[in-house]
Order: sequence, then C-alpha cells, then structure tokens
Amino acid sequence: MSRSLGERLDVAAAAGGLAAAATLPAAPVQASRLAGELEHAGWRAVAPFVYCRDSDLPSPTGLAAGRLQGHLLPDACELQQCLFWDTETTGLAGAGTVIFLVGLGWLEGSRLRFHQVFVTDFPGERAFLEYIRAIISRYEVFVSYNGKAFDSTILKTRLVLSGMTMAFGYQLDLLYLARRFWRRVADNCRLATIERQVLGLERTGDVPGWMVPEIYFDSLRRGVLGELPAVFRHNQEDVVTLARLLAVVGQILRCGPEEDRPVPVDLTAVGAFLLQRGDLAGSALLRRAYGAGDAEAGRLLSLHLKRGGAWSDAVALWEDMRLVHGSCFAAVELSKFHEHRARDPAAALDCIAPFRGDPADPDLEHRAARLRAKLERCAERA
Amino acid sequence: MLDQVLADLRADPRFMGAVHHWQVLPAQSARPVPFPRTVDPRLQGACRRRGVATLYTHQAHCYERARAGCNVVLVTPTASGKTLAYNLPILQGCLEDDAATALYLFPTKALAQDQLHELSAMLQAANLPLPAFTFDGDTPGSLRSTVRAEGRLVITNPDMLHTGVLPNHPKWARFLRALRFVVIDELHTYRGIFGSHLTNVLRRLRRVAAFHGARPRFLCCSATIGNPRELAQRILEQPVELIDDNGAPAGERHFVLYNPPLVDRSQGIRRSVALEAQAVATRLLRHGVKTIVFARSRGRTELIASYIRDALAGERDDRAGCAAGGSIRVAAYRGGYLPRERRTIEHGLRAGELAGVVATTALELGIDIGDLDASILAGFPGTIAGSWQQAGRAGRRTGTSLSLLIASASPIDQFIIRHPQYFFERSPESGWVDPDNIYVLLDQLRCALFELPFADAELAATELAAAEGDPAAEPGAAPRPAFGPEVGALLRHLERSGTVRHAAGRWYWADRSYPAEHVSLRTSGAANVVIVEQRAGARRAIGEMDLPSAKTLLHDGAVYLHRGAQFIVDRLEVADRRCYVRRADGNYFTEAVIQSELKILQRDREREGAGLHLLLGDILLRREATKFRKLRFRTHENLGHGEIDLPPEEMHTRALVLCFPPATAAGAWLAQCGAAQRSFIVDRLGVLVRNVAPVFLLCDPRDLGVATRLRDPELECPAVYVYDAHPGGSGLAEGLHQRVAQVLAGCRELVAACECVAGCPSCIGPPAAHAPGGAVPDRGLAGAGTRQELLEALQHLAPALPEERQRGAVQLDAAASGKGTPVAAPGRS
Repeated sequence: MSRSLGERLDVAAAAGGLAAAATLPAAPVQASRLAGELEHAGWRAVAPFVYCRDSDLPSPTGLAAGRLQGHLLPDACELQQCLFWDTETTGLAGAGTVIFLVGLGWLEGSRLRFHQVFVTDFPGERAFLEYIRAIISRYEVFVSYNGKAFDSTILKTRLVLSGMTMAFGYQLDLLYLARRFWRRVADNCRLATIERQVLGLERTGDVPGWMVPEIYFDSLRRGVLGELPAVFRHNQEDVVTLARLLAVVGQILRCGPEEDRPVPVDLTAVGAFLLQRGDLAGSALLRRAYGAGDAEAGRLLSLHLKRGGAWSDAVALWEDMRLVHGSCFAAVELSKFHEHRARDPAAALDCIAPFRGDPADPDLEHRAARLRAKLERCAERA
Repeated sequence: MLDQVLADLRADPRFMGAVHHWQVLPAQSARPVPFPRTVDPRLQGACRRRGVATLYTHQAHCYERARAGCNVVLVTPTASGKTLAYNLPILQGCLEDDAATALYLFPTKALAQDQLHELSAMLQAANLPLPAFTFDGDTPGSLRSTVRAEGRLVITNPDMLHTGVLPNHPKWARFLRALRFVVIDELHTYRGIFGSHLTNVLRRLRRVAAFHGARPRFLCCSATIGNPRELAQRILEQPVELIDDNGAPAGERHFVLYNPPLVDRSQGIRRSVALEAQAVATRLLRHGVKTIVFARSRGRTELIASYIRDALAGERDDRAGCAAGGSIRVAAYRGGYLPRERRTIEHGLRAGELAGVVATTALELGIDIGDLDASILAGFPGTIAGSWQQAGRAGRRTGTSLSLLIASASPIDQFIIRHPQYFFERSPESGWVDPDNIYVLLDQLRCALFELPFADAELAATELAAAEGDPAAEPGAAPRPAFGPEVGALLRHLERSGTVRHAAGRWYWADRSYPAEHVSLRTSGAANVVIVEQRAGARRAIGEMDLPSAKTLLHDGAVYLHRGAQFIVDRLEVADRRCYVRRADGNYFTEAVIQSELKILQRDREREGAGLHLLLGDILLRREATKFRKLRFRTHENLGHGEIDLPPEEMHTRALVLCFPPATAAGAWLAQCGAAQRSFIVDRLGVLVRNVAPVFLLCDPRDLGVATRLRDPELECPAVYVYDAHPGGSGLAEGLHQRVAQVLAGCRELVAACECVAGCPSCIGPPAAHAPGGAVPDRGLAGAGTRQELLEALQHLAPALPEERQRGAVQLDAAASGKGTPVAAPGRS
C-alpha cells in the first residue's frame, strides 16, 4: 500500500464518503469527576458505573385500586403490586440502542417511592441490568407509557445481549388507554400533551425527548454530568405522571354516570370502554354523551342495545338519531329492522329514501333496489 | 416438434443464408444415484410423490458434503435440480434436530416467493409441519413477529438481512441460535461493490450467529461464471467445495449464430434484430415450439412482443395441452410490471397458457417458468456468461432445444458472428469482490458495531491473522478474520468522529442513528416513478420505473408500451414520482436522444505517474434527454422530433482522470500521432481500462464508468475518465489511483498476449460508437486501427514496470488467453 490508511480515510472523508472527523478529541472517562458530581447530586454507587438514588414523593391524590381492578388491573391486584416505569435510551430501535437511565416508581403506603438507576458508561451495562431486573421482577404489573412497544422491547433486547432473560408480567400501557380516552380531546397523545391538556400541568425547563441521546453522549465524551440532571428530572416527571394518570383514570371510571369527571375526557370513549368490559354503567354514560350531542355515542349505544335484543329502545334511539342528527347509519339500521324483524319492506324503503346518494353508505343503492324488488314480488304474490 | 422445425430451417435456403454457424451440443444422459440411506423416508417419499425416484450425482454429492459440514458451491445448469440439492440436507437437518433453522438468501423478492412455493410443495408432500416464510419488505408487520418466533426456514434477501434482521438480532435469538444452514442462491449476482457489501453482511451474520452460539454452513448456487469456487471463497472467506458434476440429463442443443440479411449491400445495412427475432419466433411458435426471446432493453422487449402478437393475430394454437382452440399467446416480461402481473405471466408459462415470452434480463435469474424449447437472443447480451445464462433458459431434460443468437449491427455482435470459435471456446467472465474496500468496509463496520461491540481481543486476533497472509487464496486454510486487517485503524477513526466509544477494552456503538438505514447494498436507492393510467376520470397504477430511466422513457409525449398496450405520456411529475399516461393507438414509438456531460468539481490529488498526469477528484456526471424521435412501428422510419423538458440526471462521484498533456511522455507521443490514430488509441484505452481495471480492483465492470475525451475542454488535452458508478463514490477511483501503473501494464499485457490476428473483443474491444450500418472491415473491430497498432501505442503509454507483477496479472493472463475451461457453461460438463 503506497499510502497509509489514515491518508486514505481523509481522502474518503473529503469526498463525503465518510463523516468528517469531529473536532472533539476522544477524552478518557474522567471517572472521578463524574463520580464526584453524582455523589454531590445525591446518587450512590451500587456497582462500577451504576448509580441510583431515591426520592420519597406524595402519592397522587385519588390513587386507589377501586374500579381499576377488573377493568385495567387483574382482579384482586393491589396498587402496591404495580411498578411505574420509564426508560431513557440512546436511540429508537435495534441492537445498538442502549438504556442508560431507568425511573421506577412504586407505592409505599401513602407515598410514591421513586427509584432512579443510571449507568455512566457502556461497560456498566450488565451490572445495571442485573440491578434493575432484581427490582422489576418483584412486581406483577408494569405501568408505562408506550412501554409495550418501546421500553420493554428494548429492555428485552438488552437482556438478551447480556445473556439474561426475564419474564414480563402484565403490562398496563397507558398510551393505549390515552388514545381511547383523549384522542378526541387532546391535540395528540404524546405524554407531554396529555399532561398539559388533560392534567393541566405545565413543566418548566423540560428536555425534549429527541435531545436526550445527545446529552448522554456529550456527558460520556466529556466525562461530566453536563445537561444530564435535566434528563433525570424529565424521567422522574414522566414516572410521576404515570401515577397521576392512573389516579385520574381510576376517578374517571369510579364516577357515577351522571357525575362530572375531574378532568376533560371523551365520555363516549369511557362509556364504550366500560361496556366492552361488561360494566353497564357504560350505557348510561353513552346516553349522556348522546344527549350532549355526540352522534357517535348514539351509534355505539344503539349497537349495544341491538346486541342485547333491546329492540324497542334501539329503534327509538335510531328514530331520534335519524331525525335529530340526520344519521344515515340510523336510517340503515332502521331499514334493516323493518325489513328483517318487522317484515315491512315498504317501511324499510321509506327509512332510507331520504338518504339515497349519501356518500356515507355506497351500498344504499343496492339496498334500495333489493327492497323495491322485494316489494314487487310481494305485490305479485298479493 | 422442434426436430421437424429444425429440419425445415436447415432446408430453407433463405434462413440458412443468414446462418453463420450451427453448433450441435450433444445430449447428455442422466447419471442417477439412489437416495443416500440417511435421507429420512418421509423426504424420500415426498420426492417420489413429486416424480423424483433417484437423485442425480451432483445432488447426492451436495447432500453428502453438506452433511459432512462443508461449505458448498453448486454450479450446474438451469433445471438440473439445484433447489432439491440444497433443500435435501437442510430438511434432513431440520428433521434430526427439531430446533434447527435455515436462512435462504435470494437477490430478489420474486425469487424468494418462488422458493417459498417450491419449499411449501415439498413440505406438504412430506407432510412436514416446518414453518417456512418469506421475510422482506412485503411482509406485513403483523406477520413479522410470527416469522421471528416460529420460522424454521426463512427466505429473505441480502438487503433485508442487512437492514431488518441483523440490526435486530436479539429479536431473532431463537432463530439464530439454531442456524445450521445459509443458502445463497444466484451467487454470481454478488460481484463487485454489491458482492463486497454482501461479503461484509455475511461477516456480520457469522459474528451475530456466533454470539448466539451458531456456526452455520453455507450452501451456494451459481449460474455460469468463470471462477465460481474462488468467488464463493472470497464471499464466504472460508474454504468452499465446488460441485459441478452435473448428473442431470440434457437433450441435444442446437446453437445457431444468425446474422440478419443485408438489405443494402453497398451501405452494409442489415435487417433489424427486432424484426428478425419476430420472424424466427413467429415461425417457431406457429409450430408449437415454446420460445423465449431475450431483448436488450425494456422498449425492445415490448416492441418485439407486439410484433410477434401482430404476426400471430388470429392464428389458432393447436398444441396439445393448450386451451382448445385458443390463439397462440405471447407475453412481454420485464422489470416495472406490477408483481401481480409478473406472477400471472410466470404462471401462464408454467401452465402452458402462454406459448412464448419476450423478456429482458429480468427472466435471466432462476424464476420458474417451466420448460421452454427455444431461446432467441436478440443481440449479444454483452458477456459470455450472460449468453449461456439466457440460452440456458430453454432446454429440456429430454428432447432437442434451440438457441439462436441474432447479431445486431454493433461491431461486437458482428465479430462474434464471424468468429464462432471465440464465442464457443471462451471462458465465461469471472466475478470479483473486495470486502476491504474502505468505503464499503467503513459503512459495514458501523452496522457491525451497532449489532455487537468489538472486543480488543477480537481485534488483536483479526490483525494477527491478517498479518499471516490471505488465506482466502489457499483452499483449506483457516477462516479469514472478520472485517479485514485494518479494523483497528477504522475503529479509531470512528472513535475520533464520535460515533464509537472505546471503554474497558471494548468498542461500542455510541450514536443515536440506525446505521443500516443509511447504507444501501445496491446502487439504486431513490423511489420509483409510479405509472398511472388516466381513463374516464379514474386513475389506476399500471407499473413503475426507476427515475433515471423514466426521464428517458417516460418524458412528456413518450409512447409507453406495457404488456402490448400502447400509452402516451401526458406528464411526468418528477417531484411526485408520478407519470400520468393514457391509452393511445398511434403508429409510432419514441426514442430519447441522450446527451451526457462530465465536469470536474474538485481536484484532490494531482501527480505525474506512469508517464502521464493523474488527477483524482470529484466529478459531476450529467445525463440529459433533450429531445426524442418518433419512429414508425416495424419500419423504424423517422416521423419527426419532440422536445423534452426535464431536469438532467446528475451524479456526483469520484473519478481518476488519466490526462495526456504534451508535457508528459505519453502525452507527447500521443500528440505526434495522426488525428485518426489518436482517436483510435484514446478510445481503445478507455475500453481496455474498463476491462482490465476490475481485475485489479476486484470489482465488477458495472461498478466503473469510463469516458474518453480526445481533447478535454477543461484539461486541454486527451483524457480518460474512470469513475465510480455509485453516487458519492465507492473507493474504486482511489484504488485505481494507487494501481494505475499496474493496470496500464495489465492493458499492455492483455493486448500483447491475445491470440487473435488483428483484434478481438478481448483485446481491443468494440468501438464505443456504433459504426453506421454495422459494416465491419476484416482487419479488425475498430476500423481505424489494429491490435499491433494499439500494442505499439501502449508501449509508449504504459512502459514496462520494473516491479514484480502484482495480483491480478496472473488471472489476467488466464482471462486473456481464453483457454480456461468453462465451468458448466454450455449446460454440460
């Protein structure tokens, strides 16, 4: 080789084929400095590169097992068996994405115990994972926000890479619930948005999630804490918000059908949620939401009534929906009722006549044609 | 059927007048062997139920070597039962170990689908509940976790392995832990930069598999290629056994070299390849001969198919087994059709509903299209290997088959027609890879680090082993270390750039990105243009095309042919990657006129060397379609022009420019030559460098671009540009910069050692510009010069090197003499 590798790399870099070498020189880990900073901030070492710290926080008001049991938690599961958790990672997916911070919260009496575990550098990962696995495996229910798709997937990946395994218990992912309860209420279902628009909380000086990996790498390279304390706070707030959200969800489910909920919520979604779990309080909620003008609540309620064979209630509701909301869906349901149950094709045709050409139901024309044919056959027979 | 047609053809003076050579390759009888006793009765039973009562020698051989734990490369012709050869040991392995898994790599999704059907049929016949899946871009998200959790036989492609599987290997832990076999079919497609990437992907696969505790064996298959065992060893970096004792029977094959008759003797103008292909194909199809025609471009494919259809319009297909009374049906087949359409055509061929097909190289690979009797090559495919591959798509295990090469007017086609021995005796081209190409390696190393950290100890072993030589060259030697000898320096470079962290003796990926996402194994990356038909207010996607081609084939006003239907382009929306077309019924097709331009953007290094001036830097390559011609169907008469208003296709890449200013020795010599001679020499030098450089750079000719300038406007002297064909560069220009003296010496040796008289495609090569009418003087290919003239020029341009001959030179000798034994080339050994 006529030229050194370094030279060729530089040529390649100049061509844009390689990322140009960063100006920052590789700094050795200034372990003593970082350790000092961490200890000063209340962290204690539990293994090489692994630190943890505790906070003792008041439990969010109104957090009680109550109706959560059976609806969201396994029967007879107490809140004390729930672990609230959230991770901070160096990326979004794949074997090269590492967890460097885990926030864990659990209830002890009326207090929320918050335990944060931090790994300062890659070689500490195994000890870090062993440490958190030991805590996590004591719990039965894992409360998270997007933990099913993200945090638990990455944790499983990290465990496999370190030659460990762990069975995850029941995962209560509040993102799924938030998507049901607040999709029509909040701008989006990101945790920060739900926190602001539903819980009415405003964080100050919060780190946007996309900056987190860079803050960690910066700390790694420079051997100092740098901006990490903001990430620690962010992670703690996220975990506490999980408990707050669960408290609010409990209250939402606990309220009687006619009571007002403590936070803005999509009553229709709550009603449907309850009905799905066999809680008949849901139908009262849907009726109330329908009364407040939500046609979707009427649709869901009418289908519930239809399934239960409460035909007269269902028909009354459909009539109302058709008249008040101009609901094509209700017209079709009425038409089906008249055709198949009341055996009155003429009435069935009348129901849908005003809706012909409605883009909501492209099959309407077929239905009308079939009914007309039926009527003609009836006329012939008569 | 065919025998009768062949007799008729032989008796037809008009046809025979155009035939320059008629070679009969004798039939080969089967060499059957019983199933090895270790093969499970269920598998033997399944084979019997599918009509396979005995194995062929190569199948049994492959089974035994695979069972013995060897890596294998199997090189036998199309339809010789390669699939069974590798599936047998794999299925047997899966029966003996109910956790064992196997990974299949195919270069395309279509081949993967084909393989899945084949495997499923076998598993069903054997009543084996082994879960087999394809895993690629088309696999729905909901199915992916099932594949990971349950798949025993997973069929994918290198790109998906690279971006989907390896970076998520912990999710594949169950599959990888039990990985026993990896099948790499169509190995010959992995040449040059693509092959160099694949080699590294396999390094990553072996590394990750080792992490999970598996050490898989590799079973490779290749079509015709000059150096299958060597290519396999270079890709696997492990010893590989070659199996080429083809025991499958093959019927007699007639290989005919056909030169279209002259229509204008004074100007040397011949009848067009398209019309001749149509005439011969029609004749064969009328007599019930199942025929495939290979055309050189997508446009030609459609054109020939429509000519054949027109010629056969209204005729009945009386072949047995055909839908009674149906017409003779012929389809076109090429890239850009919707997958569903492709499946329909493939099925139609297998089921016999289609009597013929006109295809691009898209049908060269092993898609199952059933048995065909005749293949017509409408123009020389450009390589010997490609010719045998295309010819091989026709041919049955028993009975006669025909391959007909119709020469175009191009000088290389005309040379081959006049020198049949060159065509029949020359070895197929070889394939090379250079996994340690710095561009490829650095990209791949990032991906590998993302998957698993590197330990210092691993590095030390790597560097130590590398210092002991290149064991890939010696069969039976220890496996070569992963990621080459320079991995330490590369890691330190990555650490400096901040994406890698070295801590406590290990190198960790320390970046938020997902590197595989930014590394493409193949050149093309941009999204395809979707072709949308507008009809009565409704829109419907009918096909797709890559953007660079779309600019020349789908410009506003272009006639687009799709499965025999004619469309006219209303508008091409480049930004949206949409092309709107409507049905048309015109009497012409269109051809764009393309202008290309080269510009030096940045000069990185300049030096005098090898008697000339060398410039390494960045160039901009611009291709622009500025206008198009309208040509009447069949007569190809020019009906007028249209303007094209599209942004040029630009590529920023790396180039080495060989400059010949008068101040250099080579330049001075060139300056005193006559204009015609200078033009001949510069032009030939470009062709030579293009043919020779890949041997030294271990790349594929497709990875390099070459352009010659008799007088470069910027450099103000003759110049030969050699550039990386991959956007952004792929390290080949840099490699050539270091080895330019050797490459030029190689060019000289090649020309000196050639055994031809006045010049042939192996030495002086075909001219870049097509001679009008294809008239070729007998003194040589280039018209303006002979081999001796070129050799004399090279003695001035590339003086003999004092240093020892480097790697590549020996292979070059072998390649030049053309005396190597073609491996499995003509379909018999």
